[in-house]
Amino acid sequence: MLRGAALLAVLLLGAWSGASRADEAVPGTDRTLKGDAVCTHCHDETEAKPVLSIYKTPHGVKADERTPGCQSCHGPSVAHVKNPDGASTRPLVDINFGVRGAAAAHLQAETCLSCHTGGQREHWTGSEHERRDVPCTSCHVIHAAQDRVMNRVTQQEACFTCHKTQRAQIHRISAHPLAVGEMGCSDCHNPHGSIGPVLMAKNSINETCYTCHAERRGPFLWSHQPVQEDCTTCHTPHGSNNPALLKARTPWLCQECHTSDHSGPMNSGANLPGGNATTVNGLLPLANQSPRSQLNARNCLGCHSMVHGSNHPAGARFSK
Amino acid sequence: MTAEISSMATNANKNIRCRAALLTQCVLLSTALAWQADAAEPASGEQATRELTQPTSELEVGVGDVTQGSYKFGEYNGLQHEGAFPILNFDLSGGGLYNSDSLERWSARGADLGIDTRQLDVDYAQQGKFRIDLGYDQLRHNISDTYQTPYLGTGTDLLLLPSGWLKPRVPQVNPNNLNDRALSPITGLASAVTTTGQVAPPNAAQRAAVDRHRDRAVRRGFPLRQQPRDLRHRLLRIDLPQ
Repeated sequence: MLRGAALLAVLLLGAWSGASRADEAVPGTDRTLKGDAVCTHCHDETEAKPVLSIYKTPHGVKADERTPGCQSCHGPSVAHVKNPDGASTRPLVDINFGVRGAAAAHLQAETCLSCHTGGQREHWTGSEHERRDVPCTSCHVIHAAQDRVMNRVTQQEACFTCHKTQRAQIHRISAHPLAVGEMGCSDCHNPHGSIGPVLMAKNSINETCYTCHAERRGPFLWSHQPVQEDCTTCHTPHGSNNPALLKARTPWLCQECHTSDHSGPMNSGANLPGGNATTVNGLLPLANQSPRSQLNARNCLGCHSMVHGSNHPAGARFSK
Repeated sequence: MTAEISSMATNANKNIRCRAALLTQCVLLSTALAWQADAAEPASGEQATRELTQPTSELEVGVGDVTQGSYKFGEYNGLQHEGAFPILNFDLSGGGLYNSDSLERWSARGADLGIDTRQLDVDYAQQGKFRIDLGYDQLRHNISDTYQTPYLGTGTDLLLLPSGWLKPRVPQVNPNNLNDRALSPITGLASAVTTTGQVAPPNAAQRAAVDRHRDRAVRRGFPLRQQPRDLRHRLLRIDLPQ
């Protein structure tokens, strides 16, 4: 009983009291159903765009005093409601959300951020999307039963509308399981802003990768310095036509840094098992019949399999 | 135009849609017609409003079939073998209506419950007070360990190229100095490189030796390539009467 109560306490996300932030954002508007009726008198169930679907979402829970009414977000929009000049085309609402023909992106963001402050949006100001005037509704769909970006399967539709390179990359031979819906872009990125590079969800690229690939974190008895520095030294996370999301195939990937002994020349078996144990001036004497392993199978990784680091006492060369 | 929004305060979850996925074409056809007959009747304003504003639930049950096994197709979903597999997805939600005094909201979602990538998420909230979310997610990653190699003696520590393997040979000028163009250290043999630096094409006997080796590998069952097959997933949607 006590254990269950303790577990429940751990699971609780905290209680908070909600002031009516929606009304504070736009004074003079009515967030109740009576206020909404001003808009839904025309924008009813016959509307082509299902605006009433917002009542299925947390935004539409009227018992929660924090939730907005129509005019809380779109503004009082007196000109749109009354159309005093009798224009055939009504004036737009005060804040028209969207991308085309819409209010300025920062005005849209201010409306949303009047309630949705902090948390994942802590670093919105100055973030890449904010600086490029990407409005909230460019990704989020409010008047729908489910916001597409809240589901990792449909989330990609929003991101890949602009990020077409990544749309292609996830279909390469080696990729994270985005194309099959087992991962979403938000598993690694925080599109609302981040102090890490390239809108990483965590503070750095490595820290983001370690949330799933914790076995690469270390600390290791023998550590491989580029691994500790940046995973993208060797890997390209969106997709690659090389195995294991590598930027290049071995041995050429390794040869970007390693040039000595048998790592450099393509046909050198210097100091390899089966090869000549000694070299002359670092070069392999002839009459050595060992097959060249650099281009065969997993190349360097055939022996140096523990490239991310090793805890074996004899693992200084990452082969154990 | 009326825009009367119902003020009824009920906690009932009115709309439940069930999907049953069937394998055979003939049954699919007959049930699809019945669904279309129901859809011919136009929805009233109240019904349309209810559909837009009340929580809906979905249930999807069926059987899928993988017609040809492929490692790549099943890399992240475990469907690398031929055969049928169950389809079970559901999305249930409920709680108070938008116009009620209730803050209770709950949802239960399950996806791919019949295969190894199953997900389950249960969520309960008193909006504005607390929310409890329990989730289970299973992820599978199959890694292929099959490969092709021209080397003989795989599994041992002595790998040899077949006797007829075409190896470009460049004689060494100095037996103690490495010649970067040498892929074989055997000296004294005729060079495959002409005086102008071009590699001579293989003659008929050398080509035949390579072809014999490749044919032997194919007869032993080494797959030359694998092609993924499309997943057949038949759905049928039935709207139950309210």
